[in-house]
Amino acid sequence: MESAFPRDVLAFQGACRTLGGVRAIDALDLRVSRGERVAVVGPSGAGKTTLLRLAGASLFASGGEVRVLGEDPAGLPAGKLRALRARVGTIHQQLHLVPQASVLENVLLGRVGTQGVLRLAVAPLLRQDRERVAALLDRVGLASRIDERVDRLSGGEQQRVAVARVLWQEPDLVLADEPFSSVDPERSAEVARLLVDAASGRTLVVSTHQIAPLRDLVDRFVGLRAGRVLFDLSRHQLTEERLAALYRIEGPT
Amino acid sequence: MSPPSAAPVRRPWWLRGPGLALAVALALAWRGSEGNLGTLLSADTLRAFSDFLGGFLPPAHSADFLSGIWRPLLQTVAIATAGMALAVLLGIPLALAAIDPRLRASLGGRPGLPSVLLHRAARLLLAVMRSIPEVLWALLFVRAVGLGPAAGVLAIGVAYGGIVGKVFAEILESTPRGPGEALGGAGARPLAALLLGIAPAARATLASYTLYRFDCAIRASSVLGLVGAGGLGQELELSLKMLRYDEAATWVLVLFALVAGVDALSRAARTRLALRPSLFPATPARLARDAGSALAGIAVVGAAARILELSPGTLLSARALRSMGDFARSLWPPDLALPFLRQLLPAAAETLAVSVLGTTLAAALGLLLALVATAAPRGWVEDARIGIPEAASRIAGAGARALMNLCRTLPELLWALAFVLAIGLGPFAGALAIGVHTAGVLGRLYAEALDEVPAGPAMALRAAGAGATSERLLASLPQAFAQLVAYTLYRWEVNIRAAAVLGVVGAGGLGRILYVSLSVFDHGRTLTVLAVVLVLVLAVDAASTWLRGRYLSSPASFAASSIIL
Repeated sequence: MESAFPRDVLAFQGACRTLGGVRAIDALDLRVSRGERVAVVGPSGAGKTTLLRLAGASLFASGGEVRVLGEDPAGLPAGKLRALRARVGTIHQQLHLVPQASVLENVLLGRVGTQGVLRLAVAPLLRQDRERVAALLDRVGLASRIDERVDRLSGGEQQRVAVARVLWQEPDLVLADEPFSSVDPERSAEVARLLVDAASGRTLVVSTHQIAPLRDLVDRFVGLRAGRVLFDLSRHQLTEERLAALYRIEGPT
Repeated sequence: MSPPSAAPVRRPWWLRGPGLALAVALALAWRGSEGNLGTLLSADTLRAFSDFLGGFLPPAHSADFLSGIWRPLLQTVAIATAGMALAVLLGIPLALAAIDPRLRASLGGRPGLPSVLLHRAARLLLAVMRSIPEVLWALLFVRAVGLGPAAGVLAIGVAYGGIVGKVFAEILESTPRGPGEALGGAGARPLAALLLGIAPAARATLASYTLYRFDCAIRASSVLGLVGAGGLGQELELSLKMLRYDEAATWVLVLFALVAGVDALSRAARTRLALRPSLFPATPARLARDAGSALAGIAVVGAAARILELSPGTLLSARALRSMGDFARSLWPPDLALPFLRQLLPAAAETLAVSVLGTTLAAALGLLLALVATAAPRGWVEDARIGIPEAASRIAGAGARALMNLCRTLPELLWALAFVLAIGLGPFAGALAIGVHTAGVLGRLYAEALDEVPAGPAMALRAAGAGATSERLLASLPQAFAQLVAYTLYRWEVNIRAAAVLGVVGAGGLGRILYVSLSVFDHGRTLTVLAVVLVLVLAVDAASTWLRGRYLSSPASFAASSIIL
């Protein structure tokens, strides 16, 4: 599988996805190559989350073509599909950590796609796993909280746990959905740096409607509006007019 | 606000379709259960009741008697323990199979035809297992494996396995899905996502529900002796029939203490689970502690099996299996002769009538008890007058709660036995028994619902000068009303099952015919009666679900259904 690593990590061609009768993604074309850092920007309801779920193979296109790491998720048998999902790490907007589990366990759960339940159950007792997770937590600044229950942590700390979980997963593609939505503006830059650090050596796709924290950290900005790509520009090409057009209100909504 | 002339004059609800239908149903239920105020209030009955109450005091406490209660008591707890262990063993895999395929899909599964078929089959099996009441299962198992505790264990295992399976599936389905979906999105198998992402949030509810069921199992196993399936039921029946009411009182007190003990255990377990810092042990010391708890649990079940002289070997021995197989074969073909069917129809109607009348009596009595129990002013009342009225209402409240607990602790079948002794054989005794037992259950649920009602409207009425009674009737009751009706309908589903077994002690309905057919080894008839019970129970379940959907805007919460199912 590794040998056949495609140049394009993501390849959407005329992709459509209808959700609840609404075309959340509509004839969308997008390519993301290996190692790129891409920000998907656009107003609420533009289809950013749907795009990320298609990219994470947890949702399938209802039309057109979507290839994730060279595979068509909709056509894969169950086992291959799980293997593909295990290669994509997602930091969800609501984080979706397991609140009753410890920080250590939540990080260990990053490998749930490749390790069995029994292996995960004994992992907290294995010194090697524990030390490695501690090192990751050190990287995100949470080393002292390793045995704390995750629901005792603040929102910002929980987000760091989610980042550490993706680090532990070691995916080829990292997706982050609205990572700044629950962080105050002065911390956004910190979160952005954390993300880019976590994605070093991998491909990163971030959805957001805050451009500032990522302005100098990503390679490309993709503007999404009503499920379509409005612009796809390198960070040097992105201008204020383009952004204004993206957020312009058209007609009654 | 619309002008008053715009709206047509609406008759009050009790003069419109639903109200009239309810009145007709109640009248039919009264007739069908041979309801008779004359009998109930006759001098003979009243004397029987006063003998009863007088005879209870003081409870028997001679050293001789007390030394004899340990064995049946231990046996009852052992039957409940082993039965519950079996129920959980059967219920968990069935729950996993019965989980909504949509949940599996959201955890990253791709439900194919086999898993959909498995889901359907598991749902059907669970429905059959829980639709036949445990006492009927016990009657069947007594025939299949012989008299004794094995039949009781199997009966509780199968009947509660069906309930546990359904409720576990519902608990997991109603738990927040985000964490599980995230794990599925990271490539977890659906089962792993369920265990690691969803079960952790549900574990406290699962545990306290299991312990609540254990509490039910203790009460159930205390009556299984009536059909020869072991435990203290036989002794209790004997005490009642020999008019040794003081002994019966001791049995009841002991049962009461047992159930209260399990309740305390349940609360402790819930707190402990909710406070656990991690899913799996993180240190060798914790591992040792968890392993110790697990071993202790296994040891308790093992001890229960030892007390009952049961082992998987004897339960699954060739002889036992052959005997069960023979019995199962002897059930076929069902007896569909017309005269027999003609005899079944009125019995089924009687069972239905008993369930309706019993539930109605319970609702009326339960509401009264609940209003008394919650009459004391709540904390938010600023003008709480500390004085004689308040002290009196607190005492009355405590008394009502104690009465509700007593009603609830004794299973319907024991109440039926008591009422049969007091007013004679027949369905009316059954309806009264269901009424009294269920009044305890509904009273507690009603009181909880009334307590949890938002306080705003009541405060507003208070501020406008309303007294305590009008405040409760006009502010608290209307807000909780839909929930109370939902509880009552849920309980009707339970009561149709109860009504189907009351015939065993002579309180009318299908139970009597089943008891007779089993006694004379006419197993074709047994199967027919079982089929009628199943149809009746499923029909009432469907009717209750329909009524709830049609007349109550908000479906009662899951928590409600789990407490009373």
